[in-house]
Amino acid sequence: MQFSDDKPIWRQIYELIAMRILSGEWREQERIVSVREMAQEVGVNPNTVMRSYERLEADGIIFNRRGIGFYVSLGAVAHIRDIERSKFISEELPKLVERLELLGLKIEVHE
Amino acid sequence: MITTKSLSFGYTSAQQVLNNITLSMERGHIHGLLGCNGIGKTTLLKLICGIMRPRSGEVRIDGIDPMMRRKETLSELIIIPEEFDLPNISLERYAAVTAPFYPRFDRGAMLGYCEELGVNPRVRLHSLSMGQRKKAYIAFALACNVSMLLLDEPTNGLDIPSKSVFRRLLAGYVDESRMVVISTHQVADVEQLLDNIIILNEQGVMLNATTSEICERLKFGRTVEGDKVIYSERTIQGDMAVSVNESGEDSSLSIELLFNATVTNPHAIAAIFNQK
Amino acid sequence: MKNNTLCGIVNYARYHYTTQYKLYLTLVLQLLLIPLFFGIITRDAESAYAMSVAVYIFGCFGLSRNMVLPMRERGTKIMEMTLPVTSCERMGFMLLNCIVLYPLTAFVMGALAVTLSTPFNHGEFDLLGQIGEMAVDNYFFYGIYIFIQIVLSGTLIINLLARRNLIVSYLISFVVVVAFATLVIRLGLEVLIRFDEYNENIENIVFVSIPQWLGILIYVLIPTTMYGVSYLLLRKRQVKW
Repeated sequence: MQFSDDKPIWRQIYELIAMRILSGEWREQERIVSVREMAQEVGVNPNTVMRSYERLEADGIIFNRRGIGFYVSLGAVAHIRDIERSKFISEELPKLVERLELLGLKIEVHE
Repeated sequence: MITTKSLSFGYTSAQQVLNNITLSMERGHIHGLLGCNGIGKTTLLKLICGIMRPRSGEVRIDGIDPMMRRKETLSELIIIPEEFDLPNISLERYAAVTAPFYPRFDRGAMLGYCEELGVNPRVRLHSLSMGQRKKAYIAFALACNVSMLLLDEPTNGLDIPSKSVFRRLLAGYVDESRMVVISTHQVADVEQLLDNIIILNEQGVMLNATTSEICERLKFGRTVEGDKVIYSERTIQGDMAVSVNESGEDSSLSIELLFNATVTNPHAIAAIFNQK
Repeated sequence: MKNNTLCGIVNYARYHYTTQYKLYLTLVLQLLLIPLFFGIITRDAESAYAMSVAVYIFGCFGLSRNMVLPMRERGTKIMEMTLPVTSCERMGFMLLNCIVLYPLTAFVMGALAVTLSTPFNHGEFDLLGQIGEMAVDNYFFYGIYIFIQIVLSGTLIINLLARRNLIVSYLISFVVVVAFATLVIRLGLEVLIRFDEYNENIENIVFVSIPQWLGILIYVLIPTTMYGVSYLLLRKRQVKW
């Protein structure tokens, strides 16, 4: 897998997993691939992948069943959507607004 | 764990290749060994293997001197040199006679790696190109399941798809009981595999830190107002810089930038990391 | 532990023969084909036999080189020296080669060569009879064997000492040995001249008859000591570049 250099690799893996959950490829309450398997799939150091998993767990998107593996948390899809939404509003949206103003366009946002 | 203490070496009495190398490499990591040409990376790997005597200082693998050539040490270590000669027999044949030395060798795994890398293990090695031979030996070495793998420029000669396969195989190889040391100039080929960076220079070990530690203290990317820039270079994307990470943000580690920074501004780097 | 070392020797032998198969094959073929060819050309079985002994002796140089080569050659040094094989096992393999396998192979190939060339020769050369005679006349048979051991252990030492150029090492050793021998002979002659001054019979001193067993012992001790020296050099070689 090719990685871009604008974000840390662990972040990009985090987002990859989040996307898979969001798209429904990995379903809630189901087991996801192990850290090792993920590392092998993308060709990244497993310690780095572990970091992504730990962050996902800290954010409540996945949980760990000792000895068995990581599972997608219940409500993860909604949770990810919330996170992405706030990220969009705090980071991407202001940039978009700024650009629109630059181009002399107006936009209205509805909830 | 591989440790060295004030290790020095020279091939002749006049020459000094390695100078005062003190470092430790732990299991569970993929270490990157970097340094300018002629700094002694390959020599260091050979000293770790115990096939040369240091001029001063010591090398220890789990507390044992590798020069004692204990079987317990050597059966857990394989080095893939940058260039090597293999006899004109098939990889299968070579594996059949070499595997007895490595108790955890897995023939099925070797055949699997061969398939992934695209090498035929049944043909004579001299009928393969150098790159194919390298892949064949990599397949064998990985299948030995040793706890210490030393690789000297492993991606040299590998075609682009094979580099990707190599990354995936290595990523699946390392666990808490194993370590891999990759000495290379082709940083881009292995960047996402490394989680501990060791940079050597004339004075010794310039840097020995995990990627997390590096990203905690340094920031990589386009310069922003007020950044304490340690090193910057002009690229197509603008001025890319290595700066002090004051905000604690996690940027994408660029090993190339880091290396250039240590070459250009070693004192600043040393100052930041010596606060360990 | 003993089992382990034995296993180690066997494993290393198998590894070595497989990875160096070309060199060993050449050696074996030489032992067979050169005397055979010679026997066919000269149509004389005794010449074939003499040639096989000659190849037997000259093959020692090749054998010693074969055994030490992976430890010296650039492309194989590191991989050879990082194998989990102890110096003990390596030496065990070399001794196996020198003391048992090489003489045995040379004997078998030599016998084969002489036998195969028999249809071509007119001489009445009875190999088995000759061997029988040799067995009775122990000294020649064992003399050759001990001589081969001396050559093998000597060339082994040279191969283990050699850094780059093997031929240069041989030349240097030749010079050293000749110089040493000259010195010894010189000293020996000095001693003899002194004795002569005191009216001692030189012949008595030179041809003093030592007991047979002592002679054999000395002849066995020479290669044994040299093998011992080889072992020490091998141990040192493993860490010296």
